[in-house]
Amino acid sequence: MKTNPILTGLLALLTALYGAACAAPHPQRTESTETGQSQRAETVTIRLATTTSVDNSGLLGHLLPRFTEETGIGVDVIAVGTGRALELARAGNVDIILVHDPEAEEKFVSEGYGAERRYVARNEFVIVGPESDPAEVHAMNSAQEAFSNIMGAQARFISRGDNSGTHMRELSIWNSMGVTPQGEWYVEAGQGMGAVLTMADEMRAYTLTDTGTFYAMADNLDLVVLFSSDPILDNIYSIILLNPVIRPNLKHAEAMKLADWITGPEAIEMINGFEVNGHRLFRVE
Amino acid sequence: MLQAIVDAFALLFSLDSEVLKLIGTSFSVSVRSAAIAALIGFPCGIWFGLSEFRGRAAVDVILNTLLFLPTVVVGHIVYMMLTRDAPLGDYRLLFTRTAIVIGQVILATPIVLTMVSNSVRLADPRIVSTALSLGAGRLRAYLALLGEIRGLVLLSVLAAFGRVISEVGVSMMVGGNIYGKTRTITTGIALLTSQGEFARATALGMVLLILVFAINLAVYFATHRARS
Amino acid sequence: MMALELQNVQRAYNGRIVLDIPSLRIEHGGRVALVGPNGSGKTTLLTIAAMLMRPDRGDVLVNGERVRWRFPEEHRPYVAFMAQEPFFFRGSLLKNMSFALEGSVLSRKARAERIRKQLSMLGVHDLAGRSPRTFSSGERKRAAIARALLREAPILLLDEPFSHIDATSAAVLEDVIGNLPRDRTLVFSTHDLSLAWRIADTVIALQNGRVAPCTPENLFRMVAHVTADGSELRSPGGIAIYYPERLEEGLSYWVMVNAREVLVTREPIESSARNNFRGAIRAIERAGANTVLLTADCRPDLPIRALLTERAIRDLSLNVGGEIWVHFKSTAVHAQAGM
Repeated sequence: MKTNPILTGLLALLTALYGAACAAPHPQRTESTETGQSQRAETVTIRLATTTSVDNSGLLGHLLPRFTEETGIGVDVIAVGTGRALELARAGNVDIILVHDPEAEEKFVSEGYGAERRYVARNEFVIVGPESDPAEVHAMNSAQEAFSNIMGAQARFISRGDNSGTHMRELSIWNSMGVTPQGEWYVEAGQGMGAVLTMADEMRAYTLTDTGTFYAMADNLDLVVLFSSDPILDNIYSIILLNPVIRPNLKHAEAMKLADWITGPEAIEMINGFEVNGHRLFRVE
Repeated sequence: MLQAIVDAFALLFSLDSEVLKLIGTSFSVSVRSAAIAALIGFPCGIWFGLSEFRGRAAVDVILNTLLFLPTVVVGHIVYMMLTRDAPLGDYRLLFTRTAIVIGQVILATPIVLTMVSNSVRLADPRIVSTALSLGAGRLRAYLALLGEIRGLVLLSVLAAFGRVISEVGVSMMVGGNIYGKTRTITTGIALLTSQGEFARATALGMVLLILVFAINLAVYFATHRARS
Repeated sequence: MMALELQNVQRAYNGRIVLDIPSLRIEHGGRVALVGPNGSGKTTLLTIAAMLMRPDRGDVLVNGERVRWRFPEEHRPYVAFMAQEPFFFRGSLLKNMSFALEGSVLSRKARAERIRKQLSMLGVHDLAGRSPRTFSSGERKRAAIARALLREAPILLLDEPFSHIDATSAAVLEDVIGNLPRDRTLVFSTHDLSLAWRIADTVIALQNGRVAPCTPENLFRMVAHVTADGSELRSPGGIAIYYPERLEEGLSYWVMVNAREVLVTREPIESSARNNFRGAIRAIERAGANTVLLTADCRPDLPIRALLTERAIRDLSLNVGGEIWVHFKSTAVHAQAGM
């Protein structure tokens, strides 16, 4: 068969793309017998499940490369909702998790899946909305009052609606007031924080958001922070080591190293110093 | 819209390393999936196309239904197959490119199978017997059959490739959207969307469209040049 | 050992039996023509013999060995087949020819030479670069024969090679097929009885999937009238042929008279033959080696054919136009309703 130049070219293109893809950073999964200090190349990789808000804040992108440099342990970050992260951990599909839902975390540990919970950092949730603030949220003294006002005014509110940490926090506030929000004003988006913020921006609505995601996007949004500083809005991030008795085949030693490092002095400094658009997103106390 | 297209070309030709990684992952995974789907689909499609048995119509209906499998459903199924407690869990395939390939093969194979078997049924029934009568072995005769319907066979691989390179459900669920490893163009788009970065998401989407368009254009010229 | 043999071969299609051959034996070097109307099973027989279709029952033996239907490949090198409507792969005639030689031990040069020779023999060499799908039907048949002959398989099965073909191609084909080396066995089907007799040594007639009692050189439509000891089959002109069985009065029948059992004399004779007719010799044609087909117009409207040896023609000094008597027993007659 006569070789067709374009077909050959196409095959060459695909082969080249394929080759490039295979050449893309793709760490080996084998253990190396080498020990020793800073290796650039990963020798072991562990899997960390965390929430999308943590991932979106960029904190892990800031911290983890340093960890890998120092220990040679690579970290694959799987960013999903809190619920899913816990489920992945229960199923034994990840080696360690970093989440921010104390209630669910306690349950997780008491059920026996979590071996040890360690505090990593904190920030807070804030209520953001249009500058016009039709529900007068900025004048309120507590998150509950703010929510109550919004509901009363039937002002549009976008909920994450996806069982994420943020969503859970939002629901806990409604629950503590003994009310169930429903109606045209209450929009359950079922999307990530960034998308929800964009939606709230478009619809000039209120929403509950973590500071990390908000400040990363603040320049492109007309929304402003209308309420903060209520203990009920505190957001505590913890890293949880998994139970080696239930799941013996995970990389517990390496996970332990991560847990140690991320709660160690160097990481604390990096976390405290992490800023986006001039705002400090996390505090370690 | 126009701005998005301009952004897309800019993105493509800026050779942004992030974008290249996404392209590389997408192609590495989807080319493999389409290839495996072809490897399975060609012989099965030929066999099914040539066979006559009671209940063949029922199998037809089942296969056609598989064409419409929602990708998230397949993602779930593969997740269930690969999770730690499952029989295949010990291979730690979850959240690897291989896991995505497995899911995409499930999506792609019915496409190749149905298209090849239908082409075989529509092909001249004398092909295989002529080849045999000229001394060809059975395998060579089937290859001759493939050769006679090669346009449709190629189309089936393209269709399969198109289906898998644009899917999100499987990639997201069993790939985990891990930066640098299992983040494809489509899961990248999903991530940007969830972050509210609609402009960049659209640009990335355009990148995918441009690449796929280029491939289809090349294939068109390849097949139509051959004809003249 | 036979080149080709069918034993108890049966094949049905949609509940109807399309082929039923208790025994068919073809010797090495044989030249066999299969004749019969459409639907008589010629194609089915050839296709099964070529191992491209599996019979419902029975065995095919190639070179004395029973064909194992799971592995017919063992015997394919010995059998070449050409379909009635030959199929060509896409691409040039040359490519189609090369396909037939794939896997051959010949060098590339040897293959090219053989292809060139074969194409020239069939007069299609200058068409080598074109796609056979653009050929006329005659050119296509010639190309298909060339392709079938390429592997020089010892057994050659051709399905209606002479149908739908122009005169030039027919002449070329007749020449090539008629002059095949004697170490090849040839079986071909045709409608044309004279052609069959010209090329073949043996003519087998098929009727409704079965081997017919005789070849249809003498085939007439006649009306039956019952008599004391059987029937009389009458032609429109009034000629009556005696038939030993009682048929249905007034019904039309297809009547065949076995040409091999027709006796020819210069003078009328008294014999046990009940059918005796006088006629003028219309034609004397060659029919295979040493055999001659003689046609006599028996008055008023029955042209009877007899298969005679060449010697007989010479001994009796028979010539076209001469008067003769033809005789045959009523057992040489075969009648069938609505065939």
